[in-house]
Amino acid sequence: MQLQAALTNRLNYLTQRQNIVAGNIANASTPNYGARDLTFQAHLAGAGSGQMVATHRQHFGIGAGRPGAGTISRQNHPLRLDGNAVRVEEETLKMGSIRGEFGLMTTTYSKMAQLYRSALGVGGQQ
Amino acid sequence: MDLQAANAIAASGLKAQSARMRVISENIANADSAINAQGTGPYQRQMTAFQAVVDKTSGAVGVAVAKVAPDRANPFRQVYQPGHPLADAQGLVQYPNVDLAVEAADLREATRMYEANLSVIDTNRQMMQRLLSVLQ
Repeated sequence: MQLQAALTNRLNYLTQRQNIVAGNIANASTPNYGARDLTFQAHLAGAGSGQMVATHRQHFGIGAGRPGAGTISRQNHPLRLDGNAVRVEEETLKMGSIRGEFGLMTTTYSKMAQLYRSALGVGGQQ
Repeated sequence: MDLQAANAIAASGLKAQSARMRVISENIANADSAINAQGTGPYQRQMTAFQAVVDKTSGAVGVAVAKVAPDRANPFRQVYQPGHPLADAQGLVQYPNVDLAVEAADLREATRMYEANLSVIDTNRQMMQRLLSVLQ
């Protein structure tokens, strides 16, 4: 069951990161918007304590003044005069890798389920 | 935080970019309107300003149009047309400060951003499909 917990954790992380990437792309024309990202480490730190953590002073609060869930603002140098630091190409590549890894995790998950079914003798593949 | 939230963010991006496209098309349509809707002077070029919006429940960062404001930095075009009904004493007519090349570039960028948001929705859909395939 440890494997299942690990896979679920990773899937949660990928979903959360996809949310952040979607936010970056949506804000690709917003002045003074710095691109955000989430590392697995920060995600685990947030999940472990059951609380969201602020790892940067620019973090904004959500709900009852809680900072964003382990989100880190990347210190990209803004390329545009309006101070926007989102690079759409970079975000698209990131989204592709998230999708790929998500596929990998779901495949592993279903393989694991097959393994259990096989062990229980309920129609699992031999 | 789930994939639905990512879809909502991308949808907010689509909405904001289409609002921007509407403003650009207004500018292009009124590029030669020497009188604005209020009848107070030439049409002024409008500009869209975006703002990051935090969704309180999911903590996701979407986008919204903060305001649409006139471009006051660029002066009106002055064209010498003595016979024109709106010409002043010197025979000059004031035309809007709309530059079609700038609008075309802006429109192209809005289109690109719209496509980027669409590709986010497409990726979310693929991820959801993968997730559903686990149940099979």
